[in-house]
Amino acid sequence: MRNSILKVLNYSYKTRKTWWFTAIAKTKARYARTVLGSFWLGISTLLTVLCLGFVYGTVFKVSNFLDYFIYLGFGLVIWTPICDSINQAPLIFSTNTNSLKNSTIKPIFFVCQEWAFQVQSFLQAFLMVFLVFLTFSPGLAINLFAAPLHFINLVLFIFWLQLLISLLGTKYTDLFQLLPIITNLLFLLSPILYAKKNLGSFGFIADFNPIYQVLRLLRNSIIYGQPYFELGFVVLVGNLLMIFLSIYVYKNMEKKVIFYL
Amino acid sequence: MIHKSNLEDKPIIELKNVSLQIPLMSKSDFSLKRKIIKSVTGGGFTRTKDNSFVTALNSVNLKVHKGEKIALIGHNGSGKTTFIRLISGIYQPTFGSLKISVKVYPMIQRSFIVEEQLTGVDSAKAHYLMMNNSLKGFQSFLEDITEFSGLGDYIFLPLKTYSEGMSARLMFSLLTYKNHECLALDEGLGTGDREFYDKAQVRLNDFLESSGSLFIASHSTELLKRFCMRGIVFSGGNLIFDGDIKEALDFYEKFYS
Repeated sequence: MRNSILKVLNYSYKTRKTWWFTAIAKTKARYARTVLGSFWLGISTLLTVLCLGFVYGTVFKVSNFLDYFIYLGFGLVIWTPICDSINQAPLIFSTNTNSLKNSTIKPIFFVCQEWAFQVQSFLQAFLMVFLVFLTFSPGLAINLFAAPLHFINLVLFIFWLQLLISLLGTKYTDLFQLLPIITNLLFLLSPILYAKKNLGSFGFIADFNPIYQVLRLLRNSIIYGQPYFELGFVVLVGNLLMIFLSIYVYKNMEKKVIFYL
Repeated sequence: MIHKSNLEDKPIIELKNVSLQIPLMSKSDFSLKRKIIKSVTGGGFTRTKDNSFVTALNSVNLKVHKGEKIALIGHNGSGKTTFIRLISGIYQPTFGSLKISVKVYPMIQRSFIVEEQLTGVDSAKAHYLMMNNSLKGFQSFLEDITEFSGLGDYIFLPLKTYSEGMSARLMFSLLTYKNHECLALDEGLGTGDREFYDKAQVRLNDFLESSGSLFIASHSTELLKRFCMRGIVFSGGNLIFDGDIKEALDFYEKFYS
């Protein structure tokens, strides 16, 4: 088991420059015909924050709109790669059927490529949103030092989640239809648009939501400057265990994936 | 010709009673609904016909030595492409033993790695990275590709603006740039327009001659005779003949006449 996991990690490491490049190429391709290019990643988040912020800020009768915009902005910018990773994962292998059937590129390559694409998109959007909020709240610059562990947790979380869903989604094609519904529900049930206290006696829903836990730790560490080392470490251990588990599942399915395409 | 001493060496590829069964996935195999029903009925709802499969290769025995150039002969669907996928590591045998000590490079219906909104340069870069895991030497690679394909400045344009011929020329140039220890080629490589054809033939000849070991699946008797000294004939997933190329081609003609 250890050897097979190491083989997958070794292959992913050896091909890292290629999947990182093809992920950049994917972003370039997506924005090839736009004037602002990949700046749209940040602009779209900022526009969403602006629109939703005014509406929900009024609905929830927030007392400080600036704080609410920052809370919502970081929540959304962290939620986006998680949501996109979940929704896109079932398509990873089917969109690369030709390469999988006719070349020696292993399926994990395309998972790494999609992961790199999500991470690159997240970093660009985050940087833009962060710089805009920094002009209103300069203290955020220092808070950033409390966040590295939670950044790592987010990217690790996206990786194993995407790997597992891509394998399941290739076998059970219904998942592709089901996942957008699940992500919509998760979004509405997670305190992103609203504070956790608004859930009242249903607050436990957020406590048992692993996606929200990853999101919350990163968002709150940036906004409040709290490092949450203990919780972050627990999440890190959980992520590493899930990475090993997902690679183990992958290794068992690696040669079968091609038959589902 | 292969040197006699090579035949005495340990084979680079050895198949012993290798069979490959490809499962036929019915719609219900992909259905969450059926999985849930199966789980609540304790599997009582299982249908045996869901577990059907196709035997794509059946008890194949073969030894290949370093430097051998082998023709894969057979009708469409006889098992040639499956065999190439098997020795390249894309498929794994269901039964039997497969030992391979070389890296087999498959050339089967290849497509560009990047999306068509990207340029020929991006495509070349992705291809180069895939082969070398680094961009060292990329510039000379790009110059060679641009010159040989005759694309000129079109190399900087998105792939979607290319004609079919231009795409084929670029693909051919990318695939035949580097020699391989063991090459498995399925049918001819598309070479695009007529003007490019002669140039491509010369490069293809050099490319095939310089590959260490070679498998070619083709319906072109001329191509097979020119490059191969051994032929194996497939029919319905079975290897039905293995021998000298001329004898193999004669056997194939008689078998289907």
